[in-house]
Amino acid sequence: MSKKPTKPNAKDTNTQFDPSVMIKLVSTDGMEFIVDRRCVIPAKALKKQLESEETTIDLGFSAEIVEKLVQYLYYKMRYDHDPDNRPQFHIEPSIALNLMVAAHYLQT
Amino acid sequence: MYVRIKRKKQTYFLHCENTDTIKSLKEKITAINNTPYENIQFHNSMDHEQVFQDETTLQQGNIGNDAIIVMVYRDGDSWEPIQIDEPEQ
Repeated sequence: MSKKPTKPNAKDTNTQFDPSVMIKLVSTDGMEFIVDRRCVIPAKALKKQLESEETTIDLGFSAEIVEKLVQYLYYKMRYDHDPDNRPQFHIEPSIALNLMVAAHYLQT
Repeated sequence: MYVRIKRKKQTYFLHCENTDTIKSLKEKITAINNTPYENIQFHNSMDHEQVFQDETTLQQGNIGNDAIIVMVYRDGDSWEPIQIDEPEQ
């Protein structure tokens, strides 16, 4: 399938969107999270996989934990340079322990 | 800000601005998985009856940071039913 060249358009910010920055994280229960590779960089345990051409990473955690981790990493990316406006990051008590284990493993 | 776009087993975390349009989000999905944007429809996760129109901005659609958007693909003349898989507890 051939792609039409995108027309340059001053109003269109998507011309800057590069889909190759996206990476797929897979949970143990088979859910898939398509996320920005740059957000996952703080997770040191994933460094090797991120440096390679890998486009799918099996994280070995449940979807509930993976989703929360990614939410945290996006939150971190957004507010690390803007701590004055940083809202609280909410974590449900029911997943707190498992999340802590995952964060420790990933060294985030 | 970012939004979470969900369909079946998949969740797309996409960076965006509240001035971005629904169409621009659909085009990002197209760029990632080659689904033509006109074959993509977004529903409000709080009210599945509500379909977001292409020219609506995220602000106009009350879509804030971390919001969930429900995605369906075209199925022939119609749209596939909404389906978001929940992981087993």
